[in-house]
Amino acid sequence: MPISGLVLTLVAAPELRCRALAALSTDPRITLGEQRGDRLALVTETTTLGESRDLAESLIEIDGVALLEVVTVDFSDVDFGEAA
Amino acid sequence: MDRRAFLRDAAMAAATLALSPATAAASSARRGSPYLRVVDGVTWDKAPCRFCGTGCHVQVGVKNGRVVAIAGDANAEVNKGLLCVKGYHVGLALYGKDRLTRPLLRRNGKLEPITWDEALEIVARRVLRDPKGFAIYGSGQWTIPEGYAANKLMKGGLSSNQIDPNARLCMASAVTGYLATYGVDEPAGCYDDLDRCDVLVVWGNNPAEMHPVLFSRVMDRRSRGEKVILIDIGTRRTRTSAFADHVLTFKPNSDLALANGIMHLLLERDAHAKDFVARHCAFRADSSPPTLDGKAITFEEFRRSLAPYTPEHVSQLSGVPAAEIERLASLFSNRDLRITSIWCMGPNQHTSGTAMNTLLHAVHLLSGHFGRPGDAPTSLTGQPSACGTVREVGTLAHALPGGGVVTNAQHRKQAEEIWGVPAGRVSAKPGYHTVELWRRFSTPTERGGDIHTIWVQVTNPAQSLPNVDALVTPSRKLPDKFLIVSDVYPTATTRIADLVLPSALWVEKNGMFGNSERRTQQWFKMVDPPGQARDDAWQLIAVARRLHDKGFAGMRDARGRFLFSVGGEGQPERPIWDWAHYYDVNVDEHLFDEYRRFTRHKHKDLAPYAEYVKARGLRWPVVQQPDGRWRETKFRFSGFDDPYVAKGKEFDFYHSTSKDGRAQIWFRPYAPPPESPDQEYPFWLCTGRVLEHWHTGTLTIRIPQLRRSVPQAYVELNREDARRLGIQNGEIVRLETRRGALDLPAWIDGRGQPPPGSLFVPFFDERLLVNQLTLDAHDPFSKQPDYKKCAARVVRRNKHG
Amino acid sequence: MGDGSEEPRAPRGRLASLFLLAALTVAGVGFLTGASEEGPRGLGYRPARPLDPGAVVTAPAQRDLRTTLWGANAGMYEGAVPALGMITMPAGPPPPRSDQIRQTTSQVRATRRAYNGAPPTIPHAIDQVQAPSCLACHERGMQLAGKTAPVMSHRRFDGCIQCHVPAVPPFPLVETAPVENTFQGLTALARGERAWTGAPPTIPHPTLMREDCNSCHGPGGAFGLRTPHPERASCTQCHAPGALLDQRTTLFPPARDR
Repeated sequence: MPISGLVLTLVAAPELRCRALAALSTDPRITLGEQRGDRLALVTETTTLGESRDLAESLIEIDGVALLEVVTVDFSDVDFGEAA
Repeated sequence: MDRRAFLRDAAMAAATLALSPATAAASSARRGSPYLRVVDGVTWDKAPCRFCGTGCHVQVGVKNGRVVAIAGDANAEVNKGLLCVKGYHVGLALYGKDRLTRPLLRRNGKLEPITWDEALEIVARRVLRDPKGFAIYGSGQWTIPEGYAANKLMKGGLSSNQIDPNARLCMASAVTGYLATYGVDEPAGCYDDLDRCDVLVVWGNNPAEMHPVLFSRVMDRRSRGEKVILIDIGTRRTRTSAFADHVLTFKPNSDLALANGIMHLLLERDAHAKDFVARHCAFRADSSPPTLDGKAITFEEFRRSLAPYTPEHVSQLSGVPAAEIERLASLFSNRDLRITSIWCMGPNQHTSGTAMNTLLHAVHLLSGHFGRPGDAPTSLTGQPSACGTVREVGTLAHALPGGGVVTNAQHRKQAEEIWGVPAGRVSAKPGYHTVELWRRFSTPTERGGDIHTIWVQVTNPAQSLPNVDALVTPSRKLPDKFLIVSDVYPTATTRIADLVLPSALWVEKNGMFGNSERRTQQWFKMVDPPGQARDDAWQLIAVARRLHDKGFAGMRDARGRFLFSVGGEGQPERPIWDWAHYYDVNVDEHLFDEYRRFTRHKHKDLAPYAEYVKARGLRWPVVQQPDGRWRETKFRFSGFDDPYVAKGKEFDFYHSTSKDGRAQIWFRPYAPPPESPDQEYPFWLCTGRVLEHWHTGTLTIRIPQLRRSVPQAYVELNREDARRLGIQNGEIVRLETRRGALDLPAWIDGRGQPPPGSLFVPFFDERLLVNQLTLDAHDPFSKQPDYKKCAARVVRRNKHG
Repeated sequence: MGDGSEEPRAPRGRLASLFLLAALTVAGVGFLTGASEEGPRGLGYRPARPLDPGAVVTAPAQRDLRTTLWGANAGMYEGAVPALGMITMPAGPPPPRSDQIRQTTSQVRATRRAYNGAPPTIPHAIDQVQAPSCLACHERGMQLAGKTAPVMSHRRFDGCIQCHVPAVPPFPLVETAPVENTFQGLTALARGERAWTGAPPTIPHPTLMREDCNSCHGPGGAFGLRTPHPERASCTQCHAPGALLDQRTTLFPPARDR
């Protein structure tokens, strides 16, 4: 069960930013954390590494998200046969 | 707490930590740095040293967002873990208390804080006033991407070539020397020569203080039991002389005669490298009118021209005993020995600088001491990226990136293609060289002073230019002249500027340097700049964007995109002109990978940015191998190493000016210097550096360990002269030339010992500015001024009352 | 790179004084090498004389030459004669150890270098050109009149003054204004790790340019750093250096060919 710590950089436009935050808060796999300026900390929990990657990639696609940084990924439960 | 909750909290803690700006900048900039080590809370990463052109790599230790320690990089080929005192203290350069942290505008004679927004607006308006009269004066301390951005802004954006660097003052003659000899700039050899040479000849150079790590690289061979003969040819005794087997002290300017004397003996003894010369060399002499390429002459003409340079005649001109000249010739006659020559400012800051540089190459070519490891004529640079940023990126008034020139239609076309700008955007008219640029800036507009604004970045011309009172000071009294200075500390130049922009320094930003041996080096931002200080490259891009937003057509490419657009096909444009987003992407990487495309046509191939992230620098040409690896080149033009030499050929000078694969051996006559001592001004005055201080001292003077060791400028004079004039050690004397006067303490038998009739003053001390005294006479080809010799006198001050 | 500190004198011995006499002669010939005075009270060197504009430095009169000390290294050999009785080895009783002593020593060390690992500055006047004369005292180390000239911590290089510079301006240069710099260097308080109580600690600092442990930890080393067992000569047999600290790790790629 990979658990990743991410930082999103949000765009400056307020309405886009709100829309992005709304989209993020509806996904049960995402826990939102502190927001400082245009940067937002969050944690994702998924069942497989592939899903974790797909989720991260989908985050960049959200309107209002400018940049995604992966801070930590926990591999302790990952079945690497699956990951490949 | 269950395990899962714990992991979630840990991930959140890490993500939250990454939110703070310092970590944010570092983490986004650092993506992919393979060298990071974290030990006891200190994060270590690689960077080249900020100071000289040697290009040592240091390990920078960062804790809590500040540099706390420096270590020599044990894995770096240049320095193998060793540094000099400046390198060990380079981290302290960031923390002088008086860092510039806000943009400052001169109002009613005083510099007052303004916002970045106002500052950018002012710069943009100065451009729009008349883009042709707007100039950038840059530096060999610009990082490669900074210099590239400036060059593109001017040449690709403003259609103007009014950009020149301070390196004009330090290595322009080395460039013309290489061009005239090989048809292409920069050394054929590299530092590996220093590990192999049997004889090291040091020409007008004091590497023990100026390139200490290189010097120890040679001298340490002695402590391993190897024999290295060191010959110090100079105008004063230095720390280098203390290591030398033979010290040849010559009269200033007579180095040309010495080189000719060696070649004369080689021919007279029939000891020149006949095979090598016959196959790979041609002969040249000055044409009329003089051009950089000169005219071809025959071997016989060459021999005849050298006939007057008998040991006796040369001895008379130079003051060096004939036996010493014969010794030099004997060493060069012996091809079993490996001989490396190094030089730096002595032959470069010379009114015959181009001539002297070509003669140094000529001695090596004629004797065949070329192209084998240990056999090389190599000029060293004083600034960390004089090669990388100035010579390779071409931030000179006549140059284009990758060795191109603006006068060549083909080169302009290539630049326009890579920049994606409309045909005809790049101007064919060279801009003004440094001395001319500043002269125009200091001349009233109505009298031909057609430069109204100069933007200075990463250098301190009010201290480093020759004859400052003529080239800089007058502009400060002309109301329509505007001086913009980007710097990190208050300097002699910021003090007279109209607008001061605070800059990020060294590991406060991403960067790349190119050192003296063609080695391109990369580092990542490690700490945040103080206050509102920002990257020089960002400043340039932000001004470009401001012009773009004002509708200035030059800031758009042929497809209407912003000149510095980052984003690419189908991707949203990244707002890198907005400081908050500058580090969202690695701008250096974007600029460098674009610049790379220029580097093929002169065989100066650079690898992709990512390769430099992994290496402690790579020496160009860096050529990709069939297996995908990138291979650097140590010995250019030599068949055994240079991939551009056709298979089976021993040597190939593939940029030969005679278009036949040959290097040019020049004859250059000795000519007397423009100013010589006379009854009124009986001394030679030489200026230079000391180990502890670098360039104009603005960084090193703020480092306690360096400043305490040499806290001020001084005048060295010979004990005999001191005795004759009644001058005591430590007495404050007045040094006078036809251009000015300066009071300095006399230091007798101090750091160096000039011969009788000679004086030496270091130029780092802005309170004691010796460049007000020097000549602005310059070399006809390179336009590089001569700081190394002018006539002076020393007067005891108490006589003046 | 080591420092000594003021401390009780060790037992005296005859052989050692002979060695010291010989070393002194060598040093005298070299004119310039020095020994450092130690102690938290500060640096004990003589500052260069401040220079008034137009000041004239007078040489001592002939008749005073025997009794006047002058020149940059005046006072260098003060206390030399009593010191002839001192020895460096064997080290005598184990050095006193406490956190307090260690801290004090660390503070003294910090006055000599910009950060832990920086080349220490030279606390005495030196010759400007002839570097090898440094070796007269520092090649083997020496103690003299309560001052210690530490053994070089690294192998012999020929350009000592390339990295080590004087801490006070050489005469006649004068420091005119204080240097304000907010740099805070890495301190030396890191301790090695012990696998269990009583296990030999690992080396907590890089060993690059600090290969000779004797420089700081040998019998001439300052209390707080000095080893209690100088007779065991192979330090790294028990004390492990850190690969990560020493840039020897293969965790990151080699410099080239990647």
